[in-house]
Amino acid sequence: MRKILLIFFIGGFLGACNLTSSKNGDGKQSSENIEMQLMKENTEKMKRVFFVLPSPIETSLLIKKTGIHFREELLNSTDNLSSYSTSASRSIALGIYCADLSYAGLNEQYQISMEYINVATNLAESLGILRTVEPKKIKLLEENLTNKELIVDIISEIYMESSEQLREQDRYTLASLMMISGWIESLYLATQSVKMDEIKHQILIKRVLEQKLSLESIKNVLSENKADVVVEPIYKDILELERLFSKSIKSDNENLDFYERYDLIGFEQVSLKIKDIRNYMVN
Amino acid sequence: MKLKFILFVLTIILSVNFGYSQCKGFAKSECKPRLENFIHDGNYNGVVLNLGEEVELHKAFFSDQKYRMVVCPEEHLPPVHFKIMNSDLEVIFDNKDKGFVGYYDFKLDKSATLIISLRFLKEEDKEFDRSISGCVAMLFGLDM
Repeated sequence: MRKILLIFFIGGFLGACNLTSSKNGDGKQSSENIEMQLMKENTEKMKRVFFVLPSPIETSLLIKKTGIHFREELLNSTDNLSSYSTSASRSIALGIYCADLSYAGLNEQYQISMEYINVATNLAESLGILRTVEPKKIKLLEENLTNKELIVDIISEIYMESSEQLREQDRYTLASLMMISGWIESLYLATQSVKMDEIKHQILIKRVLEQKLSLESIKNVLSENKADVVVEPIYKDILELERLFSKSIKSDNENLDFYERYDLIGFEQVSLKIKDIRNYMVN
Repeated sequence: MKLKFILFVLTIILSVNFGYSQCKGFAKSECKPRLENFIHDGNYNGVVLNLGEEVELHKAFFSDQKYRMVVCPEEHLPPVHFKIMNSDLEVIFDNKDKGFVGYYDFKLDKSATLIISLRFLKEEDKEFDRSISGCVAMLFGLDM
C-alpha cells in the first residue's frame, strides 16, 4: 500500500512538473493534448490490486457452523495481557483476543464476550487506537448482555477500527500482524477441537483445509515486510504451513470421498504447525 | 527550500490520511447499513478511485456460506461498474446486467478465491474528466 501511495505521489508530482514546463513551450495546445491523452491512457492501464485478509469473524462463523462445542480453556487467558509490552506483541495479542472474542460471541458466551471486549478495547487504546466502539453500543450491551447481534457488531467495529487506525498511522506491519494473528488463532481454536475419529468432524477438517485459499492474501501482505525481525519467522512459518496444507489436500475433486481427498497425517502436521505459530505469537 | 519541501510532503501525507479516515467514516455510516441482516465481517475495503482507473480485490470465499457484497460510491460520484470473476477470469456476476446495482448476494458450491474488479461507469459520449475521483467502499457481510 505504501508503495502504491508512493507511486501515486511520485506520478502526481512528476505530472505537475510536466504541466508547468509545457505552459512555457511553443506548442502549448498540442502538448496539453498529448499530456491529457497520456494521462488518460496511463490511468486506464493502472490497476491497483488488493488482497483481502480473512477476518476472524468469518473464520469463527464457518467453524461454528460445523457444530463444534465451545471450549473456554482454548482461549488465550486475559492474565497474559500484562506480558505484552511492545507494539508488535500488543498488535499480535489484539488479533488473538479478537478471534477469541468472535469464537465466544458466536457461541453465545456472553460473560466471556464482555470480558474480552474490555480486554480488546484496552489493548487497542494502549496502541493508540481510540474509540474502537461507540460508547452508546457498549451501554446498550451492558443493558442486554445476551444480544448476540450487538456483540458481533461490536467485534466487527473493534476489528475494523483497530486495523484501519493502525494503517492510518502508517503502522502497516502492526496492522498485518494483528490480522494474521487473528486468522491463526481462529485456526488454532478449530484444529484443537478436531477429534480425528469422529465422522462428524470431517466437515471441520475440510473447513480448516479450505483455509489454504487465504494463504495467497497472507503471503502477499507479509512479503512486503518479511525483512522485519518480528515478521520474518512468521513468514517462514506461513510458507511451511502452505507446504503442509498442500500435502494434506490430495485432490480438489469434490466427487471423491473424504479419505481420497484428504491426508489425515498431513492434517495432523497442519494442526501442530498452527499450534507452534500460535504459541510463538502468544508467548 | 528544504522547509517548503517538508511542508509539501507533510501536506500530502496528511491529506491522504484525512481522505482515508473520511472514507472509513463514509463506509461505516453509509455502506454498512446496506448489509441489512448480514453481519459485517470486520474488514474495511475502501479506496479513493479515479475515473478510468480499475481496482481489483482478491478474496477467498467459502462454500455453503451466504455472503452479501456491497459497493458504495460517495453520492457525487458516478455509479460503479463491478464484476466478480473466478481464478480463470470467467465472469460470475456483472452488475451491468442488473442495472449497475450496488450489491450482490451469493453462495458458492465450492470454496474459491474470487477477483472483484471495480471502475466507475464510463459515459462514452462525455469528454474524459480526470478530476472525478472519490471514495468507494466495499464491505462483505455474512449470513449468521
